[in-house]
Amino acid sequence: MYSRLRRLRTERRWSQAALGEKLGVSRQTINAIEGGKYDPSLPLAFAIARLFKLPIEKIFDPDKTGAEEDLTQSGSG
Amino acid sequence: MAAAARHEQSGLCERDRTNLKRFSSWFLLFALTFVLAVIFLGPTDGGLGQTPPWRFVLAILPLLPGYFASRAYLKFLKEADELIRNVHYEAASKSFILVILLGIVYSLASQVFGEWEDAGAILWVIASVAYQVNYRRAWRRFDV
Repeated sequence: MYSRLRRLRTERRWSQAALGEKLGVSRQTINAIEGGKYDPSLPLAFAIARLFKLPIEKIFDPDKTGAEEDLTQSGSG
Repeated sequence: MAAAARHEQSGLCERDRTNLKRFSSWFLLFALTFVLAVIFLGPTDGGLGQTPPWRFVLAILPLLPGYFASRAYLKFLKEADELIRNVHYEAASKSFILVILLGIVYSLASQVFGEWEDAGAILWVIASVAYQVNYRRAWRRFDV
């Protein structure tokens, strides 16, 4: 599942560990979500949306796959 | 939702490590009682394991630590980070499927080649190794 999590996190200058701590999950979970390798559970997706004050569909898109940077690279290339 | 500090490499927080230590202790005790039961119930031993009341006690001896090990493992899974829980689910389900398949193959093969007295212990070791292998493979797949 496509995720804008990395961009949202870096805009706020948060590390993966810091974001994980705010959400109560490990850095590895944040890394896997950002890399498009793991789809978060519904409670975690809602927690992420609440934290960034955005609707879930603005952060995750189930119709696309992969990480945000992959899509950016394929779009620009 | 803030959580306690997590270990950088494993992603485990203090609570997870405590749960894992509890599970490991019970599992070690389970393994010891299982090995003791296998040794004393074996046909080569002429003493303790050959009298009926002791045979029964030895046969059910691993049940208690096994029960507490299972409870500790489920508690760890319930309270662990969701990715870590996913990795463990994957490792557990794959090793379970492998052991079921090997058990079926053994039950058929034993009809042809005869029963192998150490089959239970060997299957148990295979399950443990398969769990570790699948756990590491799942971690690598998530690239964490």
